[in-house]
Amino acid sequence: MGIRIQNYEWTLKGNGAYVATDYPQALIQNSIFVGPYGNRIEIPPFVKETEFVVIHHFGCSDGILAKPTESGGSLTSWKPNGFVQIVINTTGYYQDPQNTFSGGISGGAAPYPWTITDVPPHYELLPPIYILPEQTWDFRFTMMNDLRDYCANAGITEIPETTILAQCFVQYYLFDGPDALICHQLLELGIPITVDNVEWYKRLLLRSRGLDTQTWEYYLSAMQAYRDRDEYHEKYGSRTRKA
Amino acid sequence: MSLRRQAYEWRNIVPTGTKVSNTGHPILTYDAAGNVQATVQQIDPDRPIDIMIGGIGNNLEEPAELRANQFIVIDSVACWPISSAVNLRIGTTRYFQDPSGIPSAGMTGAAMPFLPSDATQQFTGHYNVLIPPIYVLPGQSWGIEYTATETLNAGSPVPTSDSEIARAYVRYLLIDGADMLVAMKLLESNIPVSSETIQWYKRTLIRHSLMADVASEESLGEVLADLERRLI
Repeated sequence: MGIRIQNYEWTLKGNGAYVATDYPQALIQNSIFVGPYGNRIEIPPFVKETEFVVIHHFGCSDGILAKPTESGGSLTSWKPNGFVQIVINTTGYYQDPQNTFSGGISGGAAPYPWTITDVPPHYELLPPIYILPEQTWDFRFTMMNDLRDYCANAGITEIPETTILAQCFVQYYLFDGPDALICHQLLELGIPITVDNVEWYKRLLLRSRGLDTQTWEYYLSAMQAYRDRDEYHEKYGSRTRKA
Repeated sequence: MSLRRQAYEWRNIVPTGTKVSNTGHPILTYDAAGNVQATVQQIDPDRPIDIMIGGIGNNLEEPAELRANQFIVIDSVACWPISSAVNLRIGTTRYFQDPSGIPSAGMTGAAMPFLPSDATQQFTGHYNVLIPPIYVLPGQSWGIEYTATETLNAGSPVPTSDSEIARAYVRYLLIDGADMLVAMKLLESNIPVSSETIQWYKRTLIRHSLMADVASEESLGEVLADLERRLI
């Protein structure tokens, strides 16, 4: 399985009886992969040396005002006013016009989920982001509506598991094995890395009947050079060869 | 990361008692009844507000100005509500002007709406992208000016829905480092600057470099052929 389209969805749900530390603080960026809130994975995203990742789509919960609803101390709905930043190794992808690290893209610009009544997202990740082997990557979600403060003010005692507080979604292509090598080749040639282009390059390789064209050309030129040198030595009676 | 798709979003909502948040989007807090402890700032008609340093809503600490190694291509702007408009400013020049040649309020929210999630009317807009896009060159300052065509949020009330919040949005391609040099080269050649053309130009450079390598080897052979040979 050389080329796979992958999805990751992060959901922050209620955790039953309310404990403030179960939920993220406002303005603090948390990883959607290995952060302390919501569903998580054990190991931070890391591209192995036989892999290549192309991130091309993401989104997060829409809405600015939280519009909380509660009944009897139980919080039943909440909008996070969220932003998503992408971090590769230690570098943030999004910066504001004054060239400083920003919160990223809002759920209003890149909404998830996207319903039939929504307009198309304003933000598109074009060109996509390439994550090279040995690089780590992360999506950091920031909630700008202060959930902890509201829960303290409103005397919230429970956030049921049916209450979805925030969501994020990431879609990416995972190339591995020989396809990852092709991705590197395309990268060196300055060709955009897409599924189509990788398939095209594979067809090109197949047309060359399995021969590595670069190696073959190098081999031919090396053989030609060797033959030239041989002729030279034959002509001028070299002492270094055919002793 | 030399080609990055960036976006900047402005809203006129700030915590109660303040008018501007110079550190970006503010934290919004809520009282026990679920009302936000923030206000949407009144925007007077026909008075352009810079969405980055205009003193209303979320702002930056310094104006947007490109560094010597940066080049941006602005390809989308949008605003809300529909009775508002956005204009782009590069240096001191406004991009949109009326047919008499005088700078206008710009692209209206009805033409390029930045819809809130709870909008009762779904405007699709006339445009998704600006064609041709707008280039901002290294060293140039730029900004987006938001103008309301009628008074918005009179009396700076506490908002009860997202639709009441005035918003502006700009999306651009940030090109920096070596790619900025490629972008300038494309500009000199009158080729549209986009991520596709930059990649195309780099491919061309690579191809030319390969051909140049081959050519140099051939020409080296010709040069060597004319030289006197040295017996070993």
